[in-house]
Amino acid sequence: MIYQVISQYNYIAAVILFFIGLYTMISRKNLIKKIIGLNIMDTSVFLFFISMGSVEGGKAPIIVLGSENVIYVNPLPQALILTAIVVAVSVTAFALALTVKLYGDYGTLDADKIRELREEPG
Amino acid sequence: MILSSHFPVLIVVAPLFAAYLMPLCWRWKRGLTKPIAVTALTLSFLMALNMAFQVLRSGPISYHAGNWQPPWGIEIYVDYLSVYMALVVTGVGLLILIYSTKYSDKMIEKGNIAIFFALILLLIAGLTGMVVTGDLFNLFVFLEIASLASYALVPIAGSKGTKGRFEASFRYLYMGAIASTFTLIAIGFAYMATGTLNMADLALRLVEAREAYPTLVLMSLGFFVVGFSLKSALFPLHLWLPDAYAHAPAPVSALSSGLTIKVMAYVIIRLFYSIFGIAFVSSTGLLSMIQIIAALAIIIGSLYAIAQKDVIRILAYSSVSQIGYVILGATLLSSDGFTGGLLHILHHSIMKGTMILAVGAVMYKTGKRNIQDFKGMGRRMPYTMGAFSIAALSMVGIPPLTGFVSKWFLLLGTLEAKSYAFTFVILASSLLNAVYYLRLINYIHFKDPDEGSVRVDEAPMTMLIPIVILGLGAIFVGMMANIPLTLISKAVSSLGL
Repeated sequence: MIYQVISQYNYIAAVILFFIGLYTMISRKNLIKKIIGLNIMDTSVFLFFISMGSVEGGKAPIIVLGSENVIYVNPLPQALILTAIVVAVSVTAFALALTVKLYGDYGTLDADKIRELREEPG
Repeated sequence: MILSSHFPVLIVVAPLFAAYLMPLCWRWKRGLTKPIAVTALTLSFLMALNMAFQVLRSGPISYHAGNWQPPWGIEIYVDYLSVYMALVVTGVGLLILIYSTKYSDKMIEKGNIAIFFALILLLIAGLTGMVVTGDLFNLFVFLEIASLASYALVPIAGSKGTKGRFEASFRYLYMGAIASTFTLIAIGFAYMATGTLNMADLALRLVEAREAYPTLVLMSLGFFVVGFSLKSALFPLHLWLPDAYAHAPAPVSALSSGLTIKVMAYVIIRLFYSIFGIAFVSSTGLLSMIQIIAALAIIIGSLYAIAQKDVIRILAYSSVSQIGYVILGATLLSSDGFTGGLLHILHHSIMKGTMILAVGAVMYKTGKRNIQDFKGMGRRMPYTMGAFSIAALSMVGIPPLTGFVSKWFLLLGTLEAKSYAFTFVILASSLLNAVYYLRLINYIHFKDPDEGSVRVDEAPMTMLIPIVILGLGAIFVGMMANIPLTLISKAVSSLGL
């Protein structure tokens, strides 16, 4: 039982990373740290997908003549994750661009201070 | 004939391609930008109409992208429900786009206009893609296209926008990114349990997977529901919505309220009925929970709306309440209730579209949108405010206006399902709607304008025509409900109710 759990350490790492990321996003006030949290959370999902497709001792799925009885890893999750990485990069880029604008407007990166400044009249 | 077989993919490609032309056109021949945008979306709308006839004549269309057979290749699957949603998205989207061609001249910073149209087209392409696709990962990609476009549309007004626009956009992005990650995890669990991403194939294999890997299937369902509840602003996950609406330009709020959150609700319906199977969802107890959440959304959204002073915020909280109707109708497990929920998608996007665009026209003329600034507007902008008032009355559910019809079906549904508490919720919510909409109508038509307020006249023609068409829709679509019902009744029966 314990061996089974430990042998799946990649999934455990994915879960731990997911919660680190989600906690960082929720608890930190600094916008940059929130974005870092978002990235950690995204990375955990990538790790989860790659683990899902991997086979112990599996090779990259390139079929060469004469290579029979070779175990391949499932390439589909990897293809999906390439797309998901592109999506995550664009979201991060846009979030960072917004942060630059927010810093220019308010002179701070603290989410609470930005809210206070915004609610001040005038 | 050959071309029409490619419509399921061209309906997405037309706005997508036009979106990339926008910045180029802006540099090359500035006058062409807006006509190209409108033409692309008109083509999409005509294709959606054509597909509706094809589907009604010969059943659902299955299109294999690149001729790869499903379940290996990406399948585009257009059934009754998809084509109904595609018609709503492209039709209402087209009217909002025509309105924006004039609105953008004054209310959007000049350097942003090309990007504004590019993003609107990307948003509509993403939403259309979400409703026609038959592949789960493809759905995620289109979801991200639509989401990124809508985050970026919030602060698009540039120096002409409000002060808090970047913060609103950041908050929207922050919530949206969490929802997207949840969706991706859910897709991962579904793939782990079944080894396929094609929706039809998934539905078949999930039957076995439910026995073999019950935890995986439940986890997948749970992550999906949380992700799309966030995206469709279902109470209590609606916190991003009022700010995003209040700081976005009016056409963007109209698109978001009329189309984006509706398509997200469509995905929930699709997941429940076509993929996981409604009997399974119901057996997990999730369905009755969502019914209660939707009922709370209906009541609490209206209560929040009553407390607001900013007209856009009133409409935003009203959207939170109205999405509850759609979700409640879809989860009642009665065919009348489901019909009402689906009809409400069309009806609400017409009514809310009219109202937000009318408020946008007032902002275009006066730059103000506080409820006090609407005093006596009915005399100054008679057509705009007339359409607004009709849509507001329709929202309250006065027969024979449009909103009445969908509420009637929902009421029948609650009676059929013997959920009398929800009957009461719907009736009570009509009363609450009346409180804030009749107050608005009172300000608009029966109060004298303040001394020294800006004297304005009617909105420009390009903006007035979409408002009036939608306003007429708020009268007549309900009376001619048998036309959308031909599609909806088939959708309801094909989904097994």
